[in-house]
Amino acid sequence: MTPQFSIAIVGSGPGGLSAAATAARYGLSHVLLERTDHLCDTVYRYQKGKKVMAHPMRLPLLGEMPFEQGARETILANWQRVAVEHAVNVRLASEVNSIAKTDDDFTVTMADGAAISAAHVILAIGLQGNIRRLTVPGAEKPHVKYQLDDPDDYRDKRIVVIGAGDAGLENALALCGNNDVSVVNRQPDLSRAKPANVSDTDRAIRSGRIRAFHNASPLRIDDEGVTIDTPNGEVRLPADIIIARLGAIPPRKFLESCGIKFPSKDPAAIPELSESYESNVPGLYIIGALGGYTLIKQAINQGHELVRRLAGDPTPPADAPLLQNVCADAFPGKPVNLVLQYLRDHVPILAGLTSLQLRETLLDCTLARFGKGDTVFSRGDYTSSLWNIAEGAVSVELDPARPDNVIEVGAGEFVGELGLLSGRRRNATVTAAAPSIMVEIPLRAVRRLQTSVAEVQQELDRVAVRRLIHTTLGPDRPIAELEDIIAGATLRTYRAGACIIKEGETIAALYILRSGSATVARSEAGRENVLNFLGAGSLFGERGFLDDHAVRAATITATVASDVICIDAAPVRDTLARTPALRAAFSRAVQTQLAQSLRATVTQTQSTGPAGKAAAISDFLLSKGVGEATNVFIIDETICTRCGNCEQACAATHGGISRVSRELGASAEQILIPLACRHCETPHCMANCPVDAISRTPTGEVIINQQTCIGCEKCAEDCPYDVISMVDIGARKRPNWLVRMLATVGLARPADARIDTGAEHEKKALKCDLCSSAGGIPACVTACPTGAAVRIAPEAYMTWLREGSNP
Amino acid sequence: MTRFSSAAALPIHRSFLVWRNGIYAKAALLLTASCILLYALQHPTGPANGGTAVGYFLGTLAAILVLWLAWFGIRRRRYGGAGQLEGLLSAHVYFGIALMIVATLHAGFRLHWNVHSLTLVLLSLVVASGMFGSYAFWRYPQLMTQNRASATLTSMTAELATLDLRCRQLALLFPDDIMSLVHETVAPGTAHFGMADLVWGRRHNQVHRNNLAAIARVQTQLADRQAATPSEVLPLVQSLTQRLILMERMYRDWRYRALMLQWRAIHVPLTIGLIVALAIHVIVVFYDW
Ligand SMILES: Cc1cc2nc3c(=O)[nH]c(=O)nc-3n(C[C@H](O)[C@H](O)[C@H](O)COP(=O)(O)OP(=O)(O)OC[C@H]3O[C@@H](n4cnc5c(N)ncnc54)[C@H](O)[C@@H]3O)c2cc1C
Ligand code: HEM
Ligand code: SF4
Ligand code: SF4
Repeated sequence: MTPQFSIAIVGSGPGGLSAAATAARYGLSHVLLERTDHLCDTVYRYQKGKKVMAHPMRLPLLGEMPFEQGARETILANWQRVAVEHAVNVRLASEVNSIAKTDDDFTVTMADGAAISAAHVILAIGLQGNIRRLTVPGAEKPHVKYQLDDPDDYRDKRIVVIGAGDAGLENALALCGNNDVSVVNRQPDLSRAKPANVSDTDRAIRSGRIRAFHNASPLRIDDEGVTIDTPNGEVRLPADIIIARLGAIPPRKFLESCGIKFPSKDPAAIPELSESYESNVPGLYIIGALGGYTLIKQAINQGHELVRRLAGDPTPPADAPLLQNVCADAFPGKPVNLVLQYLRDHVPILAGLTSLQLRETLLDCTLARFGKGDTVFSRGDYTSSLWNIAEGAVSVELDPARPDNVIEVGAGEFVGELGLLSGRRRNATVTAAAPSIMVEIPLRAVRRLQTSVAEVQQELDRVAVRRLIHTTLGPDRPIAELEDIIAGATLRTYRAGACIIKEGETIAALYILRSGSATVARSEAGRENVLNFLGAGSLFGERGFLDDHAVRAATITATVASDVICIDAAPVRDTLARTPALRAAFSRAVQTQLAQSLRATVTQTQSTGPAGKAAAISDFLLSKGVGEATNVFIIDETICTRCGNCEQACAATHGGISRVSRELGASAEQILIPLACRHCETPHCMANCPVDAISRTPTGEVIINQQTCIGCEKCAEDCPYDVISMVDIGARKRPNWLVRMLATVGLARPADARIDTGAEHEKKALKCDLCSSAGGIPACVTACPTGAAVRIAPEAYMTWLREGSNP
Repeated sequence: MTRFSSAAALPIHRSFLVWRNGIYAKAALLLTASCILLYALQHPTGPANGGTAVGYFLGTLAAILVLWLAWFGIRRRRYGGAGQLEGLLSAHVYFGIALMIVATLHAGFRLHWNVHSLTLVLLSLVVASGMFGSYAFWRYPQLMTQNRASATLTSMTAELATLDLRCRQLALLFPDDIMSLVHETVAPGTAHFGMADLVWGRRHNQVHRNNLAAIARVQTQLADRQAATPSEVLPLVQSLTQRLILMERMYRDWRYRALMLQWRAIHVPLTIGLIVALAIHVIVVFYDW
């Protein structure tokens, strides 16, 4: 039987619509299936008036759909017109539930039971996923809703919002002006949502406009309300409307049910696609955000390219001129295809990539030629990229005191993986040992490859483990002496709080902390006493290798998710016994560490009193993830007068918007960690930024480039500490000092300082930049009049806790 | 690059009162001692006053100190740059106290009903409020932190709302008079306090008494088994008591905060008054001369 359609397109976002419009232009029989009752739901749901950005600026636009930077409304209207003018065959309110392959074609079934058949299926459903629904008794009642279209539809209603994520809070805020609104939150506080929503909601709760139930969950729903479980017992909330905002089920499950395979378990993994966007199921294609291309222009281009290929009229990919640019410096005049082939041949970790992945990666890379003696990177730099040597060689100088002791690394290998994987400063200086061609792959591209190409992850790990063992155990010994030890090493990942070594255990391995951090603790009088704090690169568990101890003297626990190299004890003992020079080097390494922990132990012999307090503080800090910070803001609440000068200082030096919030911070043990960026060793926020706007400066600050940020909120979602807020930026004016002084004492009210420019909304991601844009000295700390506030490296703070806090 | 290294650059969590081991306290002490010595060693022809050579010197010093102390209000709002405000506040406090003595010496310990003495009185009030403020800055953060015990204003407000609702729902099972008593007691807005509460705690006391009365009234129901069973009475008593304790805590939080910050509503306006009076004092002195 011939299928009804040549192409079925699922999802009418920019990718799907572009594909459908192109199909219409080529006269291919097609259908565009859309879940909602309008086109382009993701863009439709942007904030009203949002200024939509057209990144990457240099990428040309292909196909039928007009698109340039502008207001959401204009863009949606233009696209709507394309659908009409091209007579695209759209079927709205058609959520696709299953796609089954039968011999030559596909059967696509929708939520209402209807089915169609098609020869090719293009999946362009984006990343928003399917809505999660309530399961309590009564959940099927008609007054239970899962979205809020227009808050103005409701007036004087009793409304219960279930779920205190961003969607829930935004709905509650929009409704609370005209209705009686309660929010039911499963968490003990609002910390799951974005700071801006949290502070608005806090204000609404305080002024009585919203009632909030924390630690609460719905039990059952009846016609007039909902009964919830709270820590103070059951409470019945009368309700005319119940709005449940419980998040979405990621599209991965759906894709797997269609037979599509993922390269790894990582939730960020993207299915492997051919150069023509075809998945492992022949005839089933994936484009747009779902295929890992997170920007509108990319989605439009891909929809167009793919359908032209299916129509038998292929066009060169839109990224061709960009790739030409990337290659121009190192390979002037060489065609891109040949450069791609050259990379496959000369850079082993790129060899296993599909051509789509290779093109995408190359867009982010820098290809550079170095003359003999040129510096590639220097010790102490905070750069996060991987340098591959395509041709030539480099020398790696590990110890500035011994410039003669260098390690040579040749063509086909890479350098810089340590800084990349641990987020620490570069521990070596690398210079070209011969004229070389190098390929620099930035952190974000490496991350993407790690999740989607298994070999890249393995190769990185293998080399990193080798090198870390070499530099930690015997940097001045030839690596050949260490081969047995390396063979006995495995890489393990520990969750935050997981125990790596237990006190009293027999000694079976030696460890190196590759990334993350850990505490060393000993139990005394029934209490765990933290003795030391280990950062990435530390050697531990060395007891028993130079002396005859048989059991562990301390417990070592990961404070954040950490990668640890575990080396079997037997080969280490054998090798040390066999190679005296290596034994000497190893013993030097151990001495340095020992000296440190001894000093700590001496100052901490009692478990109560000040030392007990210091331990409790460090426990608290570590439980809040401070272990992966490079610089953290900490306030002593017994000194802080809550004057707010730190926040004022931040606002004053950053265009009127503070990036610090004390009220939303976490506090315990009389210590407050305000909500502010911690400049993580491996910044989570960087991982998914579609325009690479987040970077680490050579001096260590993690900063967001305001020019390139498109306001997509990815970083805000990814930051586990919720320190990024999405803010409408606009000119803000500060009242003069007299008004501000009188305002402090309640004698004046500074008028709302924001001047509305009337322009389109431009939301940008904002967070602390450690004042690198304002002189380099954190203004919050210098402005604190009482001495309560510090911004500091966690190690320094821990040292102070152990040694300086109780004079 | 100390910000990312393991060596701490600044002293950590040290109160402004002991900034750099109290260097400004020592400096101010030295200044005061020198002024007293100067005053004691002078041999004026008449009684000691602002008109002698030493008097002029002390007066000029005092005027400069006043202006410098007042400049703190401007400097405090100049953000960014390297100077640590904490050091300046430390100096402000100790030189402010020293100024009290310098100014008194300048006046030769004499008071009359005129603008000159008014200046000294205003100065004393500014200094006195500043001394209270320093005490408040030292004491109340600790009290406030202990009282809060990791809760935030928002979490306390939310907890109060839950308890209010629960009390109201539980009260529905009781006779009308009790029900309306409870509903009145837990009415919204009872957790807002004003200036009058700072001094007398009047409104707070009223709220407190109402709450206690409601608890007592509900408890009498226990005796009267006809109207309600213990299983209905106990949860209400319990919730009302929880609410009482929470309100206490919220009141203390509010009170500490107000005491800690509101003294500046005296310190700052009086400073402005002082500068005006000082200017008149100087003009009058030179005009008379
Ligand atoms: C807040 C925000 C701001 C952003 N700002 C920008 C910007 O300024 N510039 C930029 O270039 N990019 C921006 N992006 C990214 C951009 O929105 C996406 O890259 C783009 O929408 C991806 O297009 P798509 O066609 O792949 O999928 P989507 O646009 O997500 O479209 C998917 C469509 O499929 C439908 N669908 C889903 N599941 C089904 C199903 N089972 N059956 C039928 N239909 C289904 C959905 O309803 C939706 O209409 C932003 C993203 C967000 C969230
Ligand atoms: C004539 C003497 C003084 C003058 C003119 C003066 C003036 C000022 C001014 C203008 C401010 C700024 C207020 C603000 O920014 O809100 C201030 C703050 C302060 N003053 Fe004084 N002061 C004097 C004496 C003192 C003394 C003697 C003390 C303490 C013993 C003191 C303690 C303080 C404190 C603690 C602050 C900090 C307020 C804050 O940071 O919020 N002052 N003073
Ligand atoms: S924004 Fe969040 S994830 Fe990024 S560096 Fe700061 S704290 Fe870490
Ligand atoms: S500036 Fe200092 S005293 Fe003021 S709120 Fe911030 S930390 Fe507290």
